[in-house]
Amino acid sequence: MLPAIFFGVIAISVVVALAARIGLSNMSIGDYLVGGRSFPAWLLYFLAVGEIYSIGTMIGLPSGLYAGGASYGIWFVGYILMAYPIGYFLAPLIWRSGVRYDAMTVPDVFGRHFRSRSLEVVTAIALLVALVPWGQYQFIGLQVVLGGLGLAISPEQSVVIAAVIAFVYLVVSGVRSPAFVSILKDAFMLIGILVVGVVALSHAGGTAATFRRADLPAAMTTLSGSPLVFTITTIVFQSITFYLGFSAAYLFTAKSERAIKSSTVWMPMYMLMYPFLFLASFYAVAHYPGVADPNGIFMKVTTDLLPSWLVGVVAAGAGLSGILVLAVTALTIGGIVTRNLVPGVRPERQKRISNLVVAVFLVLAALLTLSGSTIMLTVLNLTYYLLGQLVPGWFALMFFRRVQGWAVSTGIVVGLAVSLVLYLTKPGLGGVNAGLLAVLVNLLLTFGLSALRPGRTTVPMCRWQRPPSSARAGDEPVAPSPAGGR
Amino acid sequence: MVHNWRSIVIGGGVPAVALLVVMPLLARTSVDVLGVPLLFAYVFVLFPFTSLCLWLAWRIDEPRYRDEQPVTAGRED
Repeated sequence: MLPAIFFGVIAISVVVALAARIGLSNMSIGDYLVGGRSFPAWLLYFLAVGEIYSIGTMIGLPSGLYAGGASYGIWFVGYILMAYPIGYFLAPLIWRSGVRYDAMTVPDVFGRHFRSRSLEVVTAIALLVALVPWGQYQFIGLQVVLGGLGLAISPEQSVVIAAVIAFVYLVVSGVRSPAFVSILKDAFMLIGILVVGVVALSHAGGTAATFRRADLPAAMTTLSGSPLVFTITTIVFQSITFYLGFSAAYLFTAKSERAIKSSTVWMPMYMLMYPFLFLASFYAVAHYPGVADPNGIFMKVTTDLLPSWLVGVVAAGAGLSGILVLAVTALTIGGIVTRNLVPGVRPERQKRISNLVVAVFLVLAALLTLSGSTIMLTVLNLTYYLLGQLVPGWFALMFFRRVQGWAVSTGIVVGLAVSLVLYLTKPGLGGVNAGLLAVLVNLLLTFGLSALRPGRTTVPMCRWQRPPSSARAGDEPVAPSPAGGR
Repeated sequence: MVHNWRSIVIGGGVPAVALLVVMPLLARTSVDVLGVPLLFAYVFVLFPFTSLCLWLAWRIDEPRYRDEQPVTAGRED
């Protein structure tokens, strides 16, 4: 029963991915990577929440709460919550830069805005380095889900299954697949989380019995000192990086700034599922003390409390969320390699080469996952440290005239180095998020070096308006774009 | 396009203060709301509250986005 439901849902998702293609006979690279910049607010909403509430929500948050208490729980929900007000104001500028430069990837924007091929390459490499641990994060989560089902599937097999399905999504419909599959995933994920939370609550005997057991350490429900500093600095750093580092890939799919702004308004409502995850996590704290690998906590609560068919539903939601994000990440990387790293690939060949890159990435991330496992939220921190290095460049192109491409490149390279050193040496820093420090160094270099050796000026995104005649975008503009293109 | 300061304060400032300034002040108490620790209960209430702030900001901003032109991308090959 359980495997039937789980694999049945996965099979339905492939059908949904196929259906997403209806009406598109010949998929261009623009359709493949950014859905032809045509997504209305509701579809953007589902693609966004599909990306945001990844497998980290169901598997990573409970394990973090279990192992790290309130500080992990509050930073995890806090940074997502804080990201929405930031995105509401900044995301339209990201989308606008996509239109201005005919961009389908972030390196497209950086390279064309600062007119620097070397910056384009640096940005592309930074994103590749950062997205590999992110792909690994999804694979770890998928292994946990499949492992927790008690099926006779080895870690190797679960990773291969996930990679193959992600690849199939992309080959059939490009970015449309994750957007439509996300609707299916949301239904299962929400049902799963609500049911597990409510059942855990009734087993524990009410909220007071869940959260206020006498033997619970204070750090499980309160914050002070260095954990509080860590929580606040991580919320600030990750909420900014959230849109400026991660989200550009799906923002380019929107059909208008209006669609972006109006869909962001309702995204925080989706977070109302988190209280139920907190309930499930605290149930685990009380009933399974001293678990060695906390990653499996949520699945353990699920399999212990729910009938097997419901476990299948929960696992399907978790599984789809991981595969979905894997697909979008692979697509982002495919676009970056074909458009920004390999020079001179013609638009009509970009899709085929992207598919190849997607396959290579999935295999690579899968191999890395199988070679060693870590606590998920630690991997998540690393991804953010690295992606955060794109933030100063975005600020520069959004709001400043006099920042130079080579200064942005220097900032990114040094910032990446600093964040890797801090990640590996783990100094205390009084709780301050290491990624935030690396970004400050990066900011100082980007703006300091530009001030020392000023060059040409560029109109920032916040001052740029789309001329009425440029209401089209593609790979080979008929008229030169106002920014000159490449 | 220059932003409206009122919408920035309501949609950005209020949620930021609520989370980054008010939340740390509540973080050490052992007070409960309906059996839920105040720190958690407060952050949970901020979810719909942030949507409300953004909705108010969107009511201010929306008229400026009414005549936006759609774009099409990448259909030429």
